[in-house]
Amino acid sequence: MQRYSAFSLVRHALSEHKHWRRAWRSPAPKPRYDAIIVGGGGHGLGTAYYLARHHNLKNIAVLERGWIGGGNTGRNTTIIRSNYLQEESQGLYELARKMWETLSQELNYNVMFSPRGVLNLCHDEHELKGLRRRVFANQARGVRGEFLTPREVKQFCPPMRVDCPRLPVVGASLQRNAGTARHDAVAWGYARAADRLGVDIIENCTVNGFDIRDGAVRGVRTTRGDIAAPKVALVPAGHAGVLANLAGFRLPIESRPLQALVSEPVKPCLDTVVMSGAIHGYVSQSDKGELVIGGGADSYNGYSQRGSPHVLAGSIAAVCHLFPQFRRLRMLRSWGGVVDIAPDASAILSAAPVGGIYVNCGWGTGGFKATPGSAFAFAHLVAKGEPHLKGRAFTLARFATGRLIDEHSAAAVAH
Amino acid sequence: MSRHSRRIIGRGRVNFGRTLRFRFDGAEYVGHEGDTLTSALLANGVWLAGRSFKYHRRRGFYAAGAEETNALVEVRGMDGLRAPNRPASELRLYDGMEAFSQNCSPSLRYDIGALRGSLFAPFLGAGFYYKTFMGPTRKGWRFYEHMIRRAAGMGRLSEDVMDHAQHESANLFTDVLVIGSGPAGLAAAGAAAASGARVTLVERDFAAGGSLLGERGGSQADIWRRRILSFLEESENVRIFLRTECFGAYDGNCFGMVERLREAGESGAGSRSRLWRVRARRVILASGALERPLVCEGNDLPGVVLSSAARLWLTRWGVLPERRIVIAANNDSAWETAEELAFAGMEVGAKITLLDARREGAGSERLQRLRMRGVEIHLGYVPIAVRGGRRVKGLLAAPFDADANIVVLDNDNDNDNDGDGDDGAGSNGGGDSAGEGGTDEGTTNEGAVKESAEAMETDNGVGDTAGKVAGKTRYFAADMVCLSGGLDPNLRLWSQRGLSPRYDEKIAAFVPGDEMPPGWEVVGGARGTFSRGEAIKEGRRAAEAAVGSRAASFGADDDNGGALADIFTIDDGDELARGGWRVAPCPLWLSRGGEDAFSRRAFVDLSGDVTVKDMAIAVREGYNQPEHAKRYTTAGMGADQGKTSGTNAAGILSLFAKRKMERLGTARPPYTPVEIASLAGAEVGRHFRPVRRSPLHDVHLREGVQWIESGEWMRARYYPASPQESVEAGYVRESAAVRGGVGMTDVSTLGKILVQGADAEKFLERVYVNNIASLKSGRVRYGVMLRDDGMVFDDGTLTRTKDGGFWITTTTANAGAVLQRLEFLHQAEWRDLEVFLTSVSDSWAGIAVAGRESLSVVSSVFADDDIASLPHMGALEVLYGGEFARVHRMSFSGERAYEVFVAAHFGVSLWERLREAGSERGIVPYGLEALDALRVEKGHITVSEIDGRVTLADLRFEGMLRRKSGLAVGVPLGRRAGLTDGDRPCLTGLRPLGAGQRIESGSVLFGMDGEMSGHGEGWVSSACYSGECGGYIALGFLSRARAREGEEVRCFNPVGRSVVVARVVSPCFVDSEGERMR
Repeated sequence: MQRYSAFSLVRHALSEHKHWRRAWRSPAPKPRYDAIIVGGGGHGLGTAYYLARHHNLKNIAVLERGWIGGGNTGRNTTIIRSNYLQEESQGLYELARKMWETLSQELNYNVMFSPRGVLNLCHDEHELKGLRRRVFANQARGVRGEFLTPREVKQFCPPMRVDCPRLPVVGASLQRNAGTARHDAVAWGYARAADRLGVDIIENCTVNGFDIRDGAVRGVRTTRGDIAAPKVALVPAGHAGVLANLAGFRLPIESRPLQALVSEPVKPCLDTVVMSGAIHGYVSQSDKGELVIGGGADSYNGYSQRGSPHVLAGSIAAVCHLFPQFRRLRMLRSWGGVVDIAPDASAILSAAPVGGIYVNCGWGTGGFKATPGSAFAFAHLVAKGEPHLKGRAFTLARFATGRLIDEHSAAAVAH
Repeated sequence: MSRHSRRIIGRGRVNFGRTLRFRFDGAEYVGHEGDTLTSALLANGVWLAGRSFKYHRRRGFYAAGAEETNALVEVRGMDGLRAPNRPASELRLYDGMEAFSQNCSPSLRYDIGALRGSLFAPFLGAGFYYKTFMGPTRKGWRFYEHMIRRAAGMGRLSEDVMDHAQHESANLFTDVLVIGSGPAGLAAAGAAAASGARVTLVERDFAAGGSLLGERGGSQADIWRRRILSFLEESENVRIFLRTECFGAYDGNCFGMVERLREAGESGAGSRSRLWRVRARRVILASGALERPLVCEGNDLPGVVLSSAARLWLTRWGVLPERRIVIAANNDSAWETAEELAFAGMEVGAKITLLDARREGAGSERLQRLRMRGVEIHLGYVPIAVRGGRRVKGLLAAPFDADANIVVLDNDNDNDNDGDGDDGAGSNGGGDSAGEGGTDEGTTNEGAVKESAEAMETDNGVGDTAGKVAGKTRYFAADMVCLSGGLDPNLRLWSQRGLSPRYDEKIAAFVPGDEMPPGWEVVGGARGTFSRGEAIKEGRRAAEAAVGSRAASFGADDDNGGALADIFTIDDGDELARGGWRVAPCPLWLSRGGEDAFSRRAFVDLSGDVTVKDMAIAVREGYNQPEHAKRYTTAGMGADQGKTSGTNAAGILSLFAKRKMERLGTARPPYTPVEIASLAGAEVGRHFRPVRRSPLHDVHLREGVQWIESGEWMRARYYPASPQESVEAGYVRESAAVRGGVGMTDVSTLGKILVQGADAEKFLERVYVNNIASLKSGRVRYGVMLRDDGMVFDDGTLTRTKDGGFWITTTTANAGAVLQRLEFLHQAEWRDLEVFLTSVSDSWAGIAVAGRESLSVVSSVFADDDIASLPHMGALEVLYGGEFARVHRMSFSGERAYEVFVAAHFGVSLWERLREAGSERGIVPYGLEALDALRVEKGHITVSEIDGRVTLADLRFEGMLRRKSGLAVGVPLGRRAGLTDGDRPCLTGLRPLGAGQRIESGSVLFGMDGEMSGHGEGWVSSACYSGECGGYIALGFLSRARAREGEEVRCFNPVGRSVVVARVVSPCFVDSEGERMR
């Protein structure tokens, strides 16, 4: 593989950029693979990469219905943090966060991980209590977290208004080693690195059926022909339920549109990530200068990659509440992704009821941050048939046993 | 040049009688009412409008409408607030407008960024940032990022946050929504209006007419426009929105529109914008078509414009910015532009030259007409390069072989040709035209055409079968170059509904496919119908189909209909019906061969500085799926979201990647950028969320309350005895009063729901885990609801009313969520049950009177004898002020207590009477803090404990289930092993061993042995000072707590690194037998 570096950039510039090679091949599907990954987002491509890199599975393919990174990987607000409440989540998200720190070097592709800090704001005393519990829990388990008083919030993020006339900021948690990354680069970086290890990345290839005999999978049927494989890993995000249905089992997943938007690019005006669960808005500024704003999911299920206008308007109002100066900016583009939400709002990394099929889904509204960790743990599961230490709680069985990983507090704790 | 010599007398629709003064970059200019900033600056001879995003190249005015990507300016209002990135073409000029150029330092003319841009340009190809900035250590990126961020971005934000502008929002329902007021839209609105249907016509411009505004005033087309408009204005069932952007098409034919009431920076009274949420039965999309440019080298220099813009500048604003004009085109529209320009230009001696890639041009008739007007026409010529330094000096063109328009980029051979002499001069300043253009300076109208002796590259790229330059190039001196690469149907809104357009080779553009969202029609230019007569017919037909049986015959019996019939009588031979395309355009994505023929200055997307070379790099590296190419190069992601670049980029991609034509990217709202303030609407500042006030609000004020915001509610926190009294001192004093005698508090904020109907009991049996059937009339019962998954959702009380219904209360926080959930269960799960749910939260005021003296206080207000005999958990319906009131004997504090509910309007009087009645017993009002402390002492739970992760057993409520025969929601899943595990943390009380020690809520609980790391054995949910216990106490959840009473645990605060050792005790700290409340 061509190595990317400042030196290579200069060298190629001198030759008019004519010698760049393809970042990844575009092979025709082979009739048979040792494993097939369905879904070419960050989690799927990452799974392929770690399978090839750590588990010596090289005869594998990633099948993508459209173009790689075109689903939620390319539609999120790129926030990376690990300050979850439950021990299991903390373990997996913190593993991912640590991997982000060196992912650019690992993949030789700049994914632009920018640990600029993530602020989670509180707007009333009750919320502050919940926040305190979470920060304590994080700190006790080695996930960085600290409290900020309104004054410290203002110091850390001067553009923000903390003394809002309504629902002022009464405190915040700060995870300093959290931040953002460049979403497209994650998909492309994993694709390039996996391709280098021999993984076939096959785009425009829709899986429309499974070959299942004696309770075990033998392969998949696709729009580009049947492909045999003893192991099939499903990483389809919002369409998890659809694929599971094709394979004859059901998943406890609801899919809903979640929206985000960007403003026009402006000169730097916000150096951190600001999130508020209570007023449903979060915002950061991309390196290009666009403000990236996200909010709550629509309250009904659906597969359309759009949401309702009032949900979007609500998130915008929330962000303007904290940053009145953003009001003069203009929304350049808004979009929706289909998020797959499990009953306990935690992911599923599990063997499926059909032999040889594994599922990785349920990341809901927060999958991007988990990409490397999810892929790493899932590759372990697919390769060994046994869950990775950090992923072992995320089984499908937990919905039967009730050993849930509840990150869903908002469902009961209204504000 | 004198100030107004660029205006053509008698042309345009501006009001020359009204002069407007404005400033651009500090210099003062004059314009007129009806001008845009673009037209006014052009009339003043200003071409340079800003600097480009990446390379800081000089950019001028480029377009006359929504597609302007170059001239983005900052407007600064009287209040000093900046509104960045506003397209000058969209700013209606007002007196005192203050605009500034962007992305330049120290000045627009001399920009240091330009030097940097040209210096580094070779390295800044598509996706360069993915390939570097990864070292030397993993922290390196933070350093580079800092620099990149400073270089990126366009406009600047005000640091001053005080924006006092108001915005509002409203809803609109309509039968027929017509989007766009061009010929097709006007016709559609007219025909729909005649049926009597409610018609809404939306136009984003401040003048209606669309492409008709490009016609000379007084022409037949202009007269038609005015006639149908006046018909629409007079129709009562028609609502016309001007300056209103229909920015988003959502599911269910819901649309988002923003009506601009004032421009950015414009002062005035009232709201600046109005956000409309529109629901339409039928939708007629008549959004017209947008012109795209041709891609050639130097196509971004100031003075290079879209030909449609040049035409509108003239016809709408009377501005002919230059006298030597070259138009390069591949389609008929440009010929109409040429004719207009020539017609006006004759008066002022303008020289118009028209180049058309097609050998036959737009047909012989037009050819003759234009030649008569003095237009110099060169057929079969395509632009190769725009020459000029600071601005346009001329255009280099070459003969073109249009027969086989395929350009092939061959990866294997791409070093075969390196003959592009243009590439040498990479400097932004350019000046590389000196050879040809140098002598042209100062020549005026001669339109000096020079045969260039310089033979251009003979062949560009091996395998370059066509699109190649065949023969000698020619140089045309020019001050303005108009490019027209064809028309793109404007399908943004249609595509937002998830549909993909189809490429139509006949017009070399994307048109709507057969699939339509329900209720939609696309007409006119938006569906690729570029003939005006046809567009009018389509609009009319679509409207008649939309209104269906209501379609009116435009008979003579109806005055309006008669007028309309007249308006719609158009002969094919009329000037109005003419226009449109006669000869097919010649698709032309690149005027020359392969990538090598282009320097880094052939721009595909001006707003993102994306060049042909960038597209080539993307394809070479395999980013050749349209969405990948878009994201890798950022083509179509800039200010205009691909309006001018989308089709060209798709064409170039199809050539380079050898793919069929596919649209680049997906259409996403908004159509053009929408001001964020407009979307936030009126939810600003104090009005961000509605403030909910208890009916007793004013009483609290009189009592000298300290408020606390709790969600939407303003609640009484405590009532300071003196201004110095702290919150803690306050609540300790207030709780002591309750425990010692009597206190009163406002409980009006509790959610209250009336559950009625024949199946109300059955319904509640399924909702609550408690036994409801055994609840007798006149009794109150504590009830708990679960989520589907078995977790506790909410708690409250139930009372059976005399009429057989139920009066239930919920927590304040969950009032809305509980109602929503009950409605969901009723409407979705158990539709067979006859149940009526009514929220009565705001209808009742509630006051709790607690303490051993409470009976005497309550009974002195209510004459009813039954109060004295009311048992614990008894309910009484009494009269207060002649209206029903409720007295419930129940206790949250653990003392004997009554909750009294009266009609909301009696709340104040009830408070005052209770206060009066209790005065001799020393009654004290208590607030939320004391309420909380009292319930912690009693071990009662609130949302601090019910956090969505606890089961009944975790709360020690498992007994409730045992008494129930049937099943309630959540019970089956609540039986899962993980939820009934005896090791689960369950509710416990905690008391610090050390006197005066304080446990912090959120603390993690650890046993006395071992290291304090990991998730511990539980956590602290609530903590307070207890007067009764004489120290701090806490509630929490601890693994196997019941068996551990008496043990010691460590309460760890990992942030403060502090540890408090506490004893595990019963969660009920006072009166564990419950004697006081009984």
